[in-house]
Amino acid sequence: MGKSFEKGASFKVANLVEFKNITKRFPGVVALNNASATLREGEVHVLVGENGAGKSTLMKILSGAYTPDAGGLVVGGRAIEKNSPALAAELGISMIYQELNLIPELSVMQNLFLGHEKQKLFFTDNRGMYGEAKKYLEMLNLNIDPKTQVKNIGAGTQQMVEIAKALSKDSRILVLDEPTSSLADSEIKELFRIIKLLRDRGVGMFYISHRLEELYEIGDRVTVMRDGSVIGTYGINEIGMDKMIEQIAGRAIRSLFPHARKEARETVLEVKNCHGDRFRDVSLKVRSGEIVGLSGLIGSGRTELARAIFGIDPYYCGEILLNGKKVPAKNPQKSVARGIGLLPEDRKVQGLSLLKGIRENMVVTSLDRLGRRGFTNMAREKNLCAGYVRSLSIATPSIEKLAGFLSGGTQQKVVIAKWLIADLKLFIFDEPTRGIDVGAKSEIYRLMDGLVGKGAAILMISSDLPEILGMSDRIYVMAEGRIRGELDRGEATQTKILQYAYRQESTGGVYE
Amino acid sequence: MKNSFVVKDSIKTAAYNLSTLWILLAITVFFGIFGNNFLKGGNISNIINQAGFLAIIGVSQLVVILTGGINLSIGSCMALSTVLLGPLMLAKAEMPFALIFVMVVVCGGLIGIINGFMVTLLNIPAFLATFATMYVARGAAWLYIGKGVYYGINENIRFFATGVLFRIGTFRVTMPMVLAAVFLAGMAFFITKSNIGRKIYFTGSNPEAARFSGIPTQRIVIFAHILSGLISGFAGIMYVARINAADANLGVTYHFDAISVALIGGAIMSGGSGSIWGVAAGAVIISVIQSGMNNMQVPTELQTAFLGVLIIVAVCFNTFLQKKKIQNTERHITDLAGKTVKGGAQA
Repeated sequence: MGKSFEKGASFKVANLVEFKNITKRFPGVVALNNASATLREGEVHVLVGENGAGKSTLMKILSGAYTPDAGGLVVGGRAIEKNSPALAAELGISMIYQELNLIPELSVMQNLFLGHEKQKLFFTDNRGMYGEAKKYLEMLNLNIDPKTQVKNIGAGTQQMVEIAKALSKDSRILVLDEPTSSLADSEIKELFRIIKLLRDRGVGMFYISHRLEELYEIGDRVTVMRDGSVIGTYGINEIGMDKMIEQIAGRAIRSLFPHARKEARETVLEVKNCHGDRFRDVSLKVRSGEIVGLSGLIGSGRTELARAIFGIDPYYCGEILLNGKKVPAKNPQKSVARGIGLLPEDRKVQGLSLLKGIRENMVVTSLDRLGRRGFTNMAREKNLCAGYVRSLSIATPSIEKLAGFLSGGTQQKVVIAKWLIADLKLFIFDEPTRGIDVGAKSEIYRLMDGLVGKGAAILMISSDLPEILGMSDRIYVMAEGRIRGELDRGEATQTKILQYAYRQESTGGVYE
Repeated sequence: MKNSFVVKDSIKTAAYNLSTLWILLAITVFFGIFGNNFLKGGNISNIINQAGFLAIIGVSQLVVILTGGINLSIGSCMALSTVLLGPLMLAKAEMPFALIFVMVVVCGGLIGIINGFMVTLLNIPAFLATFATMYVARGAAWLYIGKGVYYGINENIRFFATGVLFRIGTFRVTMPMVLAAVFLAGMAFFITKSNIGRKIYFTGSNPEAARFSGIPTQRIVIFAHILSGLISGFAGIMYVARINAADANLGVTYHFDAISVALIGGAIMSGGSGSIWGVAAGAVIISVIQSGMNNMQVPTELQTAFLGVLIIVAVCFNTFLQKKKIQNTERHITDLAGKTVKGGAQA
């Protein structure tokens, strides 16, 4: 592919970046464990791994957003003692994120020079900036006027403008974090053309992506990460896709999960051919006494589907039925009354009011039912909340403590309690254990098991494959807004799920 | 040891909760010492009388601030609803009091509905929506009445705003005092104990979480604006009855007074926090300061400037208290986290 460098060549190629045995801990988690990797001049180095494997943490250490607890970072042969975003920029490191960081209201040119505008005496040198912007855009073969407002160009072109911005800062090291996730196929082609162009100019690039097939088109080397550790680094042609999936998935830990299959009874939720903003033609069923896992990559439309079922977002055709009756669209209030509850993805923003106490947060779903003629029945409320604090072993001195001061696991228990109080038929859990330590995790699993034991139905969205495998009776896998596969508990393996998630047909090999 | 800690903590929390009262006490003592006959019964009853009125418009503002909004149309709403029904309020119209009262209040409520719809359905920020209503309602009142005023209000109505029930020494217990007290007590009960009141608080504290909990947030915001309008109508009657005339120029700056009262009373502009009793205390504070400065013959210009300074001080103080309160809670939690291990073992 690349003309100027031979991949895997025996002669010495300068290392632009060296991560040496990096360890980074967060409270309760080891995000990076003794991770080492290198980036050569003029190569595209792909990082793959599940969500939470440590790819982004490693890149944030490069960009200076995080400081490692142990290990060293060498950039361009220079050992970096104390990295910072400012130093990283000085070293020629640029990050290009999945979410674009351009300001829509400003022109391409203004965005390119944002923060380091050219000046002539006391005035901004518009003509100079225009010329230079044109130069960088032409360098990328981009045929747009630098005066165009960013909001008027497509997502793909915006991505290119980001790259032009990196060029204008003379970046030698680029980090591309899922750059193709919001691009159309033709835009991806254009992006790859530019990436190859940069590679030929000697720029080194870390490339994070979940789309395995595109790695073979663009990557030179690939590093697989799992649970904060580097599993291995390979030349792209040394490792087949099946082997890569196996490496990404890793171990199976089903025994940690308490869930035993219950007798599934009548259908509680039925989604028929639903279309929404980020999902298409989705049909699924959840029965009483059943935990149904909804797997897939982030951005595959899982959360959007959950939001539409609960009524936060609209859906356009098809129907959503609860116990055979149509659920009113875009009306969370009616959904709750009918017995649907959603444990949202972001518990601190969507799940709880952090400045209100535990009790206030717990009863908010059920004020009308708990009260008497529209007014609070405080004694009943306090008893009920105290009961849930005890039965869920929520660690707090009082039911009035502010939710903002509880630990992540405890907060999640409060969110669960608020839906337990609401007396639901269908629980939708969106990433129920994200950012929660192992102890609280297993308590939440036991709670879920208890719920289906009592006849509730659970739809669980999770990016954590062991969790999906360990807890689900059935599993749907989504990719690009569609349900790509349905697996029963017996037949599901990490490999099969990943194959559906990456839209890859099974090539015969079954791992585990 | 743990018990004494908890007790000390709750005393502290209580002290923080009563913070507005401490300010009030300090200011009263100040004017008591440096003023001239400031703490005489007659003067105190004037102060409370005025405070009652301020508290009512303060509550009108508070209910919207609690949702995270603001209502700039309070003064205009008072003017329009009273001017529209001005002819009926006159003594010569001989209309029953209750009927007029209901009509004016409903009129205020209708203006609130318009605000509420603009904020929710049209998605206009409350500041802009009510800013526009402020002009529209004021303009409508001017158009309707022309240049004159409706003078000579029905005595039955006037009684509610000026009537003296009995005297204790030189202290007069007046009808508006009683009305304001009943109103505040009723509102305090309603807003903290009713489901809808609690939904207002929760929606204001985190609209996103409220929506994800099945609270109809749009309806709640509309309701708050209607309530604010109804209360403005009520305040309008009280005002008109006191000055004995319905006038389109009434209360041009009352939305600002209402904000001052609410802020000094501890409400937070981002919503979800603030209380009726805080507003009542805020109203008394402003009333004491106005009266005290008049008493000390401070010129009005200076009084206005001082009020501004006071608002800044109050807001800073509230922020400080909020932080303190939270720190207190946090310390408590951290302390407890160490103990839960042991506590868990016992359980």
